[in-house]
Amino acid sequence: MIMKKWLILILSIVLILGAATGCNSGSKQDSAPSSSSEKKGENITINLQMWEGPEGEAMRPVVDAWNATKASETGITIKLTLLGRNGYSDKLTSQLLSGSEVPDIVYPMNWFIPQFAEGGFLEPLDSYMAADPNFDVADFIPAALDTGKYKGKQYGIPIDMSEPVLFYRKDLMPNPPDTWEEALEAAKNFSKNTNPNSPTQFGTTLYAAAGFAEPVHMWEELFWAYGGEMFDENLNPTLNTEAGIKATQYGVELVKNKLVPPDYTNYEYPQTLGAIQSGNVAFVQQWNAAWADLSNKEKSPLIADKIAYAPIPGVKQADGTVKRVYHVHTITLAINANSKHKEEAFKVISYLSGKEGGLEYTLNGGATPRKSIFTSEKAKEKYGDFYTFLANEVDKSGKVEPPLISLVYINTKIINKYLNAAWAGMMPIEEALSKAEAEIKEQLAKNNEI
Amino acid sequence: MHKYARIAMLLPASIILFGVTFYPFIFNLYYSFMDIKIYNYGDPKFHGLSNYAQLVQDVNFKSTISFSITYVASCLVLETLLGFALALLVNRCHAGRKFWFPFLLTPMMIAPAMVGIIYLGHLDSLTGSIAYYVKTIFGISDSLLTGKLGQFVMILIDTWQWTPFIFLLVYAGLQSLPNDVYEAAKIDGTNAWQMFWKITFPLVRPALAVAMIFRTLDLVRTFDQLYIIKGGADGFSTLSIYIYQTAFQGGDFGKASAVTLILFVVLTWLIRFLFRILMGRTQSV
Repeated sequence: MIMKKWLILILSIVLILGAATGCNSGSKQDSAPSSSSEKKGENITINLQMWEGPEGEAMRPVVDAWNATKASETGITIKLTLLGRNGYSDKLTSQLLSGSEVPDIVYPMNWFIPQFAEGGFLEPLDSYMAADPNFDVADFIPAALDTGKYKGKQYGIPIDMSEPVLFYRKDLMPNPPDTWEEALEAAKNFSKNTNPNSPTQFGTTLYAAAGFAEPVHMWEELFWAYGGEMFDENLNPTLNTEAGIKATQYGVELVKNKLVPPDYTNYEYPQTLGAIQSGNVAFVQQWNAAWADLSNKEKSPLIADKIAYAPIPGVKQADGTVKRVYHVHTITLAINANSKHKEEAFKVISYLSGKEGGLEYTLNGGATPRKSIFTSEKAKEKYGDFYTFLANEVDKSGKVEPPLISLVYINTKIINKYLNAAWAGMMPIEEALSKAEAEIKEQLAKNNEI
Repeated sequence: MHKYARIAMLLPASIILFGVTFYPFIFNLYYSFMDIKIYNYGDPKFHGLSNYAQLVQDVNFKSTISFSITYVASCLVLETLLGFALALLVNRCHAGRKFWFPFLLTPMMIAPAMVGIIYLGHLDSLTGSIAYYVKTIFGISDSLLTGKLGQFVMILIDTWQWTPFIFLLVYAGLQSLPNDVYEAAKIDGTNAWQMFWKITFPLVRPALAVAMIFRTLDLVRTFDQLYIIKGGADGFSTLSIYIYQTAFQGGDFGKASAVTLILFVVLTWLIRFLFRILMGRTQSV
């Protein structure tokens, strides 16, 4: 009986210790040499984390090539980890907030950089950039490089650049619209509601998926072209201006005249792509990444040989020129502030975003925003003139949003909400923009940014 | 068994349970009283009841509550009525049951996120098959993804997926009912409605209650298909979606924690209420 009691007690202690060890095993591994950022003799393993999909698959051969050819000379091996695309930023937030030293290199969208940088979760890269003679800063498209900055410091190096351009049916419209007024007229001409003889159901689409930042990005291309700025020098929001009203009026006209599909409030990248691939719309304002699918005969059998790209419409100026502005955002490579191997991590970033690694990445499907890469002969061979076009347009007319902690919330919850209210006719434009300004100010104050 | 032996046997599981439920709960409670965001995560400040007070003025929170009530009530009523009716029907229908019975359960075997992806495609006004047939047959060209019609469609999607759950539990209950009770009732001259109301329903009520309680809890916490299809926008947001967006889009962990506490209180109250109503006073929690 006593023996039985002792056996039970010993078994219980073993089970408890086993459970406790299991719960703590994660944190122990983080600090032990057996973590993925480890020193095995002379060799250091740098953990690079991206998300799966075209970007992750484009990076894999670049990493494999480094490990095959450069690992021995540099003493650095790269371990590529691909997380699920959906919810990547949430997982990344949890990882960085936990203080884990792994991964060494992360892949945040540029609009998350202010929050992470302010919280001390990302390493400033300026000193590393200055110390690396091979890191050619001037070769980057300036607007793209600016997306990785916060409070004057560089936290992210852009590895993928996105900007909306105009894709249109060249068989239906030999001359694409050059201004937003012309775009509205074209939309009327190619919508059955205003032109029963239209060859397409609708003229265009309206990026309006509620709760997303992208509709605001699209709207900014009108707003900035009309001369608007989101904030003044004191960070007071300045949306309710002539520029804001004109920019919003475009969407109001599209919805009021039924020039866009009725479920436009669900429209973002996949829906817009589907609309033009199915031949139901004549032109779209869409992210540059869509060109790969639109020009592919297997993915767009109905329109692959009928689609073309053009500069985003703009606003005619007094001197007759057209002012266009491209919203630019990027996905960046940044260093985890808790990484134990920051110098080595930057060496990897320098290569992956450089003229050799970055070119390889771009040829595999990425879009590293270096002028030398976008205008290279190899890029032209693979993508025709598209990347040269992007480089020229963005270099001339690219613009980035101000780096604010509150920006994600402002775009997804405030501006998006009021733009949708105005577009749907639920609220006059001035009232919508005015209310948006008030809420933006409140949010900035909550986050101590004003 | 000796008292200490009993404690020792329960201790490992209790520690694990404490670690994964009680400890996070306490931490969540702590966060709900703090000003804690991504950018000040290392240095949170005491915020008192401000996180809770903000919710009272938050238009998005109010619309979340309003949508949640409509969504939960509508889905629960529809799923209960249809599930119960289906169970009664299948209970009487024996021909080929082994063949078609599994098909009845198929919708609930699909992951909710996948359901969202499937219907997002089918409901697109330009390229969706369901949208096409709705327009062709019923002449409805309005968007099936927005407004009141969109809310109705979301309710129908959930009903389609989870009616089989209620059907399954009620059917299991019906299968276990003794035949002699019905035989005795027939001899006494009871009609079909009396048999249902006086015999079938009271006897199957516990199974139905369990099904409804489970569904209510799941409906309040709905996330997957709603988020995939609507992203919490247009007021199509449940408390789970609101918490997720507040934490990871707004970066406000304090406010998200406050809503989590509210969700916990709501669910606890709902369980007690449903047990009392559905299981009767003698079996209330």
